[in-house]
Amino acid sequence: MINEIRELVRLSGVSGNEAAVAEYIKGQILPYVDKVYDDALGNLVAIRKGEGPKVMLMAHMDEIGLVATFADEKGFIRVAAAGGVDPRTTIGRPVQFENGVMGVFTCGSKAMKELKLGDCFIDIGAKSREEALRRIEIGMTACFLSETFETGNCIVSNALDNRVGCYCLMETLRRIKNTTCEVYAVFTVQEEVGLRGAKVSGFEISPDVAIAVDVTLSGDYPDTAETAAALGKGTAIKIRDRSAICSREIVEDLENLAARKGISAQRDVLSGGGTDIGSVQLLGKGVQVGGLSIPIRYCHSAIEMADRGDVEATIGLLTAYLEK
Amino acid sequence: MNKQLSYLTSLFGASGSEGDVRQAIINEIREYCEKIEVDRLGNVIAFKRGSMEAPYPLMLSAHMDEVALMITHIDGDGYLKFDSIGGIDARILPGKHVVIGRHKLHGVIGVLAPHLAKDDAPAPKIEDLYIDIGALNKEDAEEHVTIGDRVGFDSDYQEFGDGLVRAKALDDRAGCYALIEIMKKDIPFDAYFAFTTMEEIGCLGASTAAYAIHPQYALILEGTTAGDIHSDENRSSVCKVGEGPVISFMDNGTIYDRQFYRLAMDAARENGIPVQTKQAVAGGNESSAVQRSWGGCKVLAVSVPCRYIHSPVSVAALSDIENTVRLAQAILNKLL
Amino acid sequence: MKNLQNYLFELCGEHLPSGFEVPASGAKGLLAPLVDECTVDCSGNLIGFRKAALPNAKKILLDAHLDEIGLMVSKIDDHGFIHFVNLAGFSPVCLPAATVTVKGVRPLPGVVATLPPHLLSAEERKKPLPMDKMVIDIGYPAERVRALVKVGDPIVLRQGCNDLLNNRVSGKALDNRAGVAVLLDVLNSLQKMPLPVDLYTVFSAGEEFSGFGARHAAWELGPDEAIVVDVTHGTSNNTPKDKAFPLGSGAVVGISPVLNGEVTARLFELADRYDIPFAREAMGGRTGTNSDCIAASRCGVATGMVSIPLRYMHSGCEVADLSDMHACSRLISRYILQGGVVHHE
Repeated sequence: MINEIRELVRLSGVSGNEAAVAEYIKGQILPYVDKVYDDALGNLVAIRKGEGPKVMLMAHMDEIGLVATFADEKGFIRVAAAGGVDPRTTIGRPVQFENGVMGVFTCGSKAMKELKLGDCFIDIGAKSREEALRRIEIGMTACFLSETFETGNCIVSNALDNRVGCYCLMETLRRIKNTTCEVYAVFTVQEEVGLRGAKVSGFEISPDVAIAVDVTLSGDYPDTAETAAALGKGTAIKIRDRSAICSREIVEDLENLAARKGISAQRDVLSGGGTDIGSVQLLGKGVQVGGLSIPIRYCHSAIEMADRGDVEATIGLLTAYLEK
Repeated sequence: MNKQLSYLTSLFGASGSEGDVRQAIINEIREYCEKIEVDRLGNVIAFKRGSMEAPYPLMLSAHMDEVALMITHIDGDGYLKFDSIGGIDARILPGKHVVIGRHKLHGVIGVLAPHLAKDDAPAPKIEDLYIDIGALNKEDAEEHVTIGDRVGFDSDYQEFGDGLVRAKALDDRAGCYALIEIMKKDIPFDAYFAFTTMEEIGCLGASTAAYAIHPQYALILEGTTAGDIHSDENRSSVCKVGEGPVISFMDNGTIYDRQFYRLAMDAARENGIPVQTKQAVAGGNESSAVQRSWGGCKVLAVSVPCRYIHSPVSVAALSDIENTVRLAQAILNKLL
Repeated sequence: MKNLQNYLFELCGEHLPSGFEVPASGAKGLLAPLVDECTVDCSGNLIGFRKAALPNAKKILLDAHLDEIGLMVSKIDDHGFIHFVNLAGFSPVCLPAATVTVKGVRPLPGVVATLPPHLLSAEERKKPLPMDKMVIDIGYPAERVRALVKVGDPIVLRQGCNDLLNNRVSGKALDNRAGVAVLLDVLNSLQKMPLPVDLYTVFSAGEEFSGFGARHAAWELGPDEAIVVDVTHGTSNNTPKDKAFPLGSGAVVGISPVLNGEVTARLFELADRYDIPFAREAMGGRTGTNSDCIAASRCGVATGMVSIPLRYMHSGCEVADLSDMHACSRLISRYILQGGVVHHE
């Protein structure tokens, strides 16, 4: 588990620039599916043929990051956010541009008090605007770097949102033995900027059932949201978030199945946040949607933390659902 | 003087009421295309044959509508309350002249004399403002105005300075103008030209036009905000008037296709067309609706930099508009 | 035969927060006798179909959303108090000391609990309470609560309908059961008449959340035209003059860039011709109702909007005037009978 997650989080995949992640995943899952293609936006779609209902599984490949917008006279690079970057939890991190150029995401000491993205910049050690623009281009993305390690039963890393979901989906594809479902495993793009990839992929596939595998916020550390999800209590079956209300049939199916198979599961109710099913729920004549989430602490920072047991439970329940 | 551009910007076409613009455009393009359709949301969708059949459906679009106001209430003294159609900064409104409804009734947006205003008065909000048409009372006003009437800026077209133009609605009549110019010449392969409605209130027209066309590639021609009115070298100007069309990599609505972006940059270089990229992630346009129609589409936006956009006096460089036409043509030639 | 008020009071008795509209047996029971076919689709829309007298008729869709605002259980604490989040549409203002129904294993009455003022500092008393500082008390110890209620169960206001003076009524969920009642009344009045159009009546799901129901219905049914019935703000103390309508104004017809000009003009014309009281509601942007997504469905739908003035929207004491609902009903019936405006393609 840890080795493959390590591989996945090492790849840079800021929203809009997910090709490297797609390439890696494609190589890994090819033997386990009947067909793989990518669409106009870069979603990677893997199909496992079947006679039964069309089930679309989604895990987004993109991660939050920065986009270079302007280099000032002294060579400091001003940035915009791709996705929900909170400078307070990411400031001081090393970053890497898509062409390999390294830098640090930082700010002046005056700005520290009430930190806004506009006060922050990337320093790549350039001495002038000209030098900066020789080394990077305006429009290039940069991702946050961090160490990936295990502590106790937990994994800590950058980009667990949502490479850990990608891992669950890849592993599920490897594990399913018998399913009557026609499975569309979609590794989506541009989730962090507004669930965009899932929208077009969902339209194209037009599934009967769509299930998103993503991370959710846990409420089990000091001074955080009043939410029931906690690390180590199993896979979190989504009831609703800001983007979607899940179909009751799917929630019931997943809960009954978890109980029967002895897979630990909890319920996930979020007032904020969204996931790929949010845009799929609005498509066409309607589709039944559900979600399995891996609770993580410190979401959208470079030190996200997840529990290995929850990851395993997510794979277990997803596999069981498809084999049912 | 650029008569075509002057004519196009003089027409009034608030979002949802683009009739005059639509008719003018249809008259203009009729002889340059095979087929013209107007859909239920009022989009003009024209199909033009190229030298070759297209390998995939291609869409070029520009929106016809402009920001405007709408009358929402007539008060007891005959003053008119209004709402904005599209995003308008209320601070630009006091003291401006407007025209109301089909009969182009003249009105002004009232402003408190500075002698009477408090020193620390906050910036005006739309709900604080009103239009004065000189009516005596409510009944008198109701003779001339109905709730729901659209209100446009009273503004003329003027070329000035070093190749600049001042007019209302350059966003996006400049794009409409460019589309028409492209249609007048031969194109390398078949394409759909969409003149869309209701961009300013959320890109409704583009979404149904893209649904009808089902494009695989789409090029959106737009007007975009230029912030080049400061001299601080450490602040981004977003883009600069006179330095060429703007090719965006990302805005608040869309992350543009990377290969398409590269292709446009290459096309510009090979043809010696000046271009710039948008040095900020700001604003949005109908690319978002087109990109996410059907199973997705590769989109790119090319924009004319405009100062004081969404005001009666937007300013652009004529050279940027002409270069937008050239760039779009170069992109078409390279797409094949 | 049922009248508008019967319809309204029966409908308001149902608890149907966004996403939990099925089975809506009450509403279904009222709709089914008035149409040829009555179905529930996968998103929870209740759809009634009446066929036109002649084949190849134009399709008109009538929409009123069935769902109401709601809360959702997010956590049950060790003292048995239920913590909650907004499911759709709630503002914290009307919550302290409200009575609610928690839709657990069975409908459970509860109160929204807040600390009494004696225990609050002067500073705390000045501030409105945020939702995450309130809890719901259903009177059981934690163990029982956990057996009866699960994280994810919906919660609605517990409030019946009352008559006020002058034909006015008050209750919860008048947004938009008032609209649903109007459409039932329309179908009721058209019952014995041959129709010039294929008429789809959609009591849509999820409007207070994301509008998914109306999107699905418009996509699947592919109508030529649509009329959306919803509520708009009724004038009371402190409401802005240009954004609220006095109760008794009649049918409030929407004017917006999103709405089709011909449909809107025809609604005004019919109101004039048949002496139906009406008012004009101008909106510079989108309407914020199902009209927005229906109008942009597929290649576009010519959409009109008729609204009922409603005071104190999204509270447990919404107030509407039955005469306004009657005006809406008459106007829509006329519109259907004269066959709409656009050409069928």
